[in-house]
Amino acid sequence: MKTTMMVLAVASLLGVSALTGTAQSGDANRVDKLSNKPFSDTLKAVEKTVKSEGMMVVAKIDHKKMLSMVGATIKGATTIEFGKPEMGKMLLPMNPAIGLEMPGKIFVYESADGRVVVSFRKVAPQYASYGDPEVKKAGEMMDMMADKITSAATR
Amino acid sequence: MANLRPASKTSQTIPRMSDESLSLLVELLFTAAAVGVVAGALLRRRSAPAPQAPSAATWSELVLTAGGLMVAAVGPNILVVALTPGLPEMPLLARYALAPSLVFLAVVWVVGKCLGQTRLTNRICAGLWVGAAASGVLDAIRLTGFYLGQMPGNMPRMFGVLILDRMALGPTLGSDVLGYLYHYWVGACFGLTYTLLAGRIRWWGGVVWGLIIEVGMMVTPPMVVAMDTGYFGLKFGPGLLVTSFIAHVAYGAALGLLAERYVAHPGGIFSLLRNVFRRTESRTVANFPKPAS
Repeated sequence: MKTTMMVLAVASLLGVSALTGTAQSGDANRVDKLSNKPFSDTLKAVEKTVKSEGMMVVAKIDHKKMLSMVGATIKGATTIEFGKPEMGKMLLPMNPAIGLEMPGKIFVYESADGRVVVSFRKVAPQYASYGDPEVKKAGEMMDMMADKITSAATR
Repeated sequence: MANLRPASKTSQTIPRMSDESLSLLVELLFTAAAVGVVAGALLRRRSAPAPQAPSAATWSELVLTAGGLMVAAVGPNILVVALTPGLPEMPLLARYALAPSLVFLAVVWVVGKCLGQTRLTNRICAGLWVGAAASGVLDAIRLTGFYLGQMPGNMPRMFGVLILDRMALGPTLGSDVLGYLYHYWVGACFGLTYTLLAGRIRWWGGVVWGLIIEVGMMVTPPMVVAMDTGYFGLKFGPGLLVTSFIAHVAYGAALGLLAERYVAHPGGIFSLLRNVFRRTESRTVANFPKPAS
């Protein structure tokens, strides 16, 4: 937490991108799903689904609340970081460099026009870049889980 | 936006008091209460009453004063330490430095009371409430500056999340209240330092003290490093320096005016030191065996 203010700055940047209400075009690995629920319900649904799928919510970053401390007002924007301890236990001893890709991340935000969007980025290509079939498989599994979680949460 | 599915239901807002409204309420309540205390106290004593005659200075008073000054240094400085790279963080400092310092101050006060050191106990009590109340005057200006975009952050709200180690989750009502309590405690500590060091002096002594605090704030890590405003806030823009300068001058003026009325005895720390040493010296001379004539 020494760099808490740094976290705040990073969150601010994320928050600003959320303010724009659009995903980065040209990012083939980015997945955005419109939610049928209000923001808070969608967020709860993501957390609930992460847990029900046997995974853990590792961290939650509330960009809206963080930015309120520096005088910025944005709509709901929260990052949920999630993971499966077993997966970390398996992958990191094999290749600690994979730690950069972990844990998984789902971003829930309200766009400028009030739509609630749940986003994640497919990590399989990053995992595959480590050149290990086991790691690649884990990446595909992470994508599958993220897809399942976001589908259930937005339904 | 890739892979978007159409929305079948729009998001709804639940009608309840938002976190931001609650936060605003907390800061307004703290500020209004403190400004109210300042106004009430000044109305109660429209002019400074005659000073009381100081009691004899003793070593025990000197030691207890030093203890009080140590406590007063802990409150503001744990933030400086916490935001300095490589040093312990706020939750740890709050638990192992701030909390014990409160107990220690209570002990200093009780011992002073038991020893009948009215000058010391008056300075502790007056310094604390006067400093905390004067913080409300500072807040009235600070908050105005913040909502006009002239401050980099709402610091008391940040103090709350730093103490509770919940920066990523952001502030809550509880963290805001805690942050404001810490903020006002820092004001009280500066008030305590002022009364213990200066005793009863003219009101503008408080303004000088406010300016010293302003300089200290503008060159230490919480502002310079953590908020990345640069020395004297110049990286952020002149609004920060102007707001902060006015706020601290106002804090100092309120502190000085109240201390002039509610600190009973004149004579600062140097006078105390001088008197203690003189007394010790005269006792030593008196006890020295006289040569037989």
